[in-house]
Amino acid sequence: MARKRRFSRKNLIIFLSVLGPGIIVSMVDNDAGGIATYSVAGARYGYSILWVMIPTVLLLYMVQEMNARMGIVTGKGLAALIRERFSLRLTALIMLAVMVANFTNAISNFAGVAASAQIFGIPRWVAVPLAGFGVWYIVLKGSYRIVEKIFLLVGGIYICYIISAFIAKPDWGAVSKGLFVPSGQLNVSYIVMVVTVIGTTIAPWMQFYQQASIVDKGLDTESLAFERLDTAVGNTFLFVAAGAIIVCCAAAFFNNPAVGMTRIETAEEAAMALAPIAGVYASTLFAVGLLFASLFAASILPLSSAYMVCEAFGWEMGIDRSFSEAKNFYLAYTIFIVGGALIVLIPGLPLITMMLISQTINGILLPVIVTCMLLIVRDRDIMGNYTNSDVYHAVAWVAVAILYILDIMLVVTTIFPVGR
Amino acid sequence: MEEGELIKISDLIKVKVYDREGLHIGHVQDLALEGDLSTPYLAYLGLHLHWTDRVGEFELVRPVEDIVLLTPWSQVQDIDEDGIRLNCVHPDIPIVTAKGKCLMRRDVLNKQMLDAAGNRIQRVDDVFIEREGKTLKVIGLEMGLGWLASSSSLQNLMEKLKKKFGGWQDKEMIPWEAVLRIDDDAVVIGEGPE
Repeated sequence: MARKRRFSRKNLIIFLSVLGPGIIVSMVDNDAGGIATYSVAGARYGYSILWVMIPTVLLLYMVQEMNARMGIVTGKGLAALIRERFSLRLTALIMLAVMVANFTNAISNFAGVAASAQIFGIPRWVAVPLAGFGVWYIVLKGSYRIVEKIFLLVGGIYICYIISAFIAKPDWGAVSKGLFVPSGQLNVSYIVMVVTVIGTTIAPWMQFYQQASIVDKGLDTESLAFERLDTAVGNTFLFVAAGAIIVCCAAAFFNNPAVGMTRIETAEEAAMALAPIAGVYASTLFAVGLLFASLFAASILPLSSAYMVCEAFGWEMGIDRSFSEAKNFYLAYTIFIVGGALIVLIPGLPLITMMLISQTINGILLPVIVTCMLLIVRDRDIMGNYTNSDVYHAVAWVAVAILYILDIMLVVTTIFPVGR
Repeated sequence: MEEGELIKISDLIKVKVYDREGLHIGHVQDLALEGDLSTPYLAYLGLHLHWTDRVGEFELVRPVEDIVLLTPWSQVQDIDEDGIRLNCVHPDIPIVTAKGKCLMRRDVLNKQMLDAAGNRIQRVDDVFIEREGKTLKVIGLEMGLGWLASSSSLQNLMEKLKKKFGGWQDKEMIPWEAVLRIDDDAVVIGEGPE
């Protein structure tokens, strides 16, 4: 018994040291764009759209598990593996597209900071530069371990959404039905909403970030089971937080006859509209969640982009390196933060359109990147004995095929927004 | 493909390969040096065969498709834009083990370049080779646009390499003489012993 207890304690210590990449990437996934999408989904379609989160999060787990395996087995990030397995041209094309999508995502997160700060009476020209400098400074001056701990701590703020959902007093029976009984609508706007939810939940930057941070952490194959657990915990948290946002908005707007057809387009609109319906606490918590989620993503997305570009081109990188050692890494990170923050300060910018464009690019890129991942993860030269099993691989290909179909639908409906 | 003309390895990948009788048997998959890097002349051709029923002297139970084998460069009869002609007949193609060989595509192209202290420089964008009669000589590693964004430590290293390997003037290329060794996942660059 004593031996078993020691083993368990050892496992717990290993798990706690491994903990981070999977949880952080899942939490950041609920960024300003994500919160807006889940809010709009709940407000427009109520609990009936909840079931979409189950297959989406399962697919997200599969993708992230492959990332974890590739990172641990090869000791390389996804951008590096794509560069080594495929041509420079394909790598450059993918990098360019991901960088454009990440940059627009970064802008939307700074827009989230600005909007939520305004709810609390802080002008955007104060909040955005402060936020930009804050996240830049933490990463520039902190080691990986310190930065990861700060990120994990800040990530706890997503509990705000769970509390908001309870304050909104949903019908839990209807919530259960919406979650476990798939129901759909045969109209374009519903399909677009489903595609957007999937595209928001499984974003390409996540694959690059998680794998890079696993490599940065130096995890080995003995840690694989714990990293899988880290990913599963993160995905569960994402599922609960995203579900809570949908439930909160469904209860407050869709299922509230007094409200009628409330048009919610952004997360801050949802936060402000909640006050008269669900109370000032729900509204405040929602806005606090949006502020921290935006801050969180505003630091992770540029970091992910900096890792990615340095990996692809082989430049020195990592937040444990000094500025002089990894000049290009810090330069890329700084350009993303400063550029993103400055653009948000330009008056009259169509931020919602930019956010939609970034989600569309993300949606188009996702199956391309997962296809690259599936080719790499099945390559025995690269993965040795850690390739996908036949069944796992077949399921992943089916999922990718569905993603391609959804992508085509997303692109078509973005260009021709019928019924939106 | 003129004598002395600089060619990139990536331009030779997928070039068609014919046997002595003109049969299109496959394409170039890789090009290899001796593993100890003792000579810059390519010593082996990595040949992607469409199919074969014999590997070396061994008859197979049934033909296999898409197999990659390493054959000595001495089997190459001629090279031009249209392809590479071997002086043997399919499937009687002499093969050698890939163990211990330095394969340009597998081990060098797109790999991370490190300096002698282990710092990342950039990735190998391509490998320059030069034709000398029937042989191909590795000249250097292409730096591409990465050079523009390089750090001051890399610029210092490049200046040192330039001084040491006189005659080399192209700053978008690292001379092959500056390659100290090929590790599992990296190409290590340096001035080498004085």
